[in-house]
Amino acid sequence: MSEMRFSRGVIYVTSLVAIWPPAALAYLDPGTGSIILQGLLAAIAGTLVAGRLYWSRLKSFFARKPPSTPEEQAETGKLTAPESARPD
Amino acid sequence: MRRDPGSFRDPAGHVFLDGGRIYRVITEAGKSEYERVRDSGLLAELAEKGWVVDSYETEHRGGLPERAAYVVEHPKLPFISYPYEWSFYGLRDAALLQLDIHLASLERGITLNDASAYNVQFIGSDPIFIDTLSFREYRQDEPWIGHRQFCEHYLNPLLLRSVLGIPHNAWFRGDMDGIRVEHLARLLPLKSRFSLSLLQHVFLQAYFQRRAARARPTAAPPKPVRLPASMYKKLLLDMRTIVSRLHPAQGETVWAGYAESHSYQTDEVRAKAQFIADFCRAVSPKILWDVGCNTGDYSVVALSNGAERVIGFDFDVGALDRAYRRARAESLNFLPLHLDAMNPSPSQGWGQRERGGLMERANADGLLALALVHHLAIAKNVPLDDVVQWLLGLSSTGVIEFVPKEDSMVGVLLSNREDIFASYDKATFEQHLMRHARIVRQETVSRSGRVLYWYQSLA
Repeated sequence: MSEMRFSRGVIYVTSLVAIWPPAALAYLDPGTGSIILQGLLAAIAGTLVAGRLYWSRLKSFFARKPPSTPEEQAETGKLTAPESARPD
Repeated sequence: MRRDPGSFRDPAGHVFLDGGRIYRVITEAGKSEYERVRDSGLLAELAEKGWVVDSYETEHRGGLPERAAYVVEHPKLPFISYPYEWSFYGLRDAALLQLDIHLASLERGITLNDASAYNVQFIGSDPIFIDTLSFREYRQDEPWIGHRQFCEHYLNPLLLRSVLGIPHNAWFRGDMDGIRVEHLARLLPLKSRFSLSLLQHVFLQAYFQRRAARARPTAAPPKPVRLPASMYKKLLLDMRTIVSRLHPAQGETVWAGYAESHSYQTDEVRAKAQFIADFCRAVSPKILWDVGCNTGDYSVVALSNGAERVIGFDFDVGALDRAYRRARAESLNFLPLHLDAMNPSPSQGWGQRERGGLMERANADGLLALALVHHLAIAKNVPLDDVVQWLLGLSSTGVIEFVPKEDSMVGVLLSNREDIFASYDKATFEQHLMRHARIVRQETVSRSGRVLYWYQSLA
């Protein structure tokens, strides 16, 4: 039992050492600040994109419902047949 | 065949020098990346544009001390210079080249693994990228690895001058890694924090770096940062905009206006130019050093009279900026560099051999030293004989101007100090010169008694 606990302990410590980046103990890559900054910029950009998406959905929710049938579209003058569908 | 002492960092390959030829050895470790980049056609395309140095694969293996997967030969550059010798606009052009190459590479799924300013050299006043092993395959969503190095080698030295009015040259020379982000963050004024670009690239970067350094190490490896490709490109484009808008903070420096205000009359300028033209036509120097080039007036005279290429040196950064912009605008074979003749660039870096001192790189076959001697002999107390010997050591032939005490410019130098230079006169100067050289021709070119000497070393 105790032997098992001991070996479990060895495995724990060994794996801890294995995943612990040894450089982090005493050294710091001088590029760390730059990389964190880029992570932040990516996060801000991501938030902005999500925000814009949310905002445009919100706007379209409250906006007048766009015409859905071809007849309605033709009435509003928005219907244009795609190039390929036009008769020669 | 010997390895370039500055080429040791990259396990993918090293540069070897063999007489006048330059070889790049690509090791087994760098083989597959090299092949991928070569086969993409990117290097050939950028070389065609003049952005990246040419490379030719060769079967040559003689004397190479390590196993080579490939050997590539590059053309030899006319002169090696370092970022701490470049003018403000020279450094800025190098920065823009670095970014443009990076952007063009990303279009082909290739990126750069660093952003070192030592990877750029100049041919004439045009920057050219020389490290063909900096290119490697872009990995999806990776961040810009060279961002910090770009800031410290390019952005920060430029900001130092454009925000604070401090020339980058001496400070950059004092630290091979350029101007550190943490240091610049402490120097910049409070109002800089309201600039979004400075806030990001200087203050926030420095803050995160400090915070990371203070943080206790944790068992979990840090989560890799992902930067979408579109953001990567935007970061490079933003940086390009920031850099391209930078200009020196203060306008004119003392010497930049020298050409207009100095003690010459127009016919005297003409006589001086004629003498230099005669010298250049007779000698046809391949590399002429113009020490004390100011804004490059006489470098231009030399170039239009048979000098193939001019490397100019001056202490005044304002004059250098003007000289560089003129060289660039007129596509001159002229590279103006920063030099404090009292303290030329030393050999430095790893093993004190990584970056060569100026004297090690001296390769002139013609010299112009106009209105220089009195600055060294009178303003800096260097014995006249030492000044002559130093100049003769730069090139076996050239033109040296002697400015006598009667000249108003020497008068200015002596105005606030005791005249302790009893032996500073034309006769003594000639004696020193003739001990080591033959005077081919001499001519008095001003009413104040300035004399030009065309010399040829005896040895």
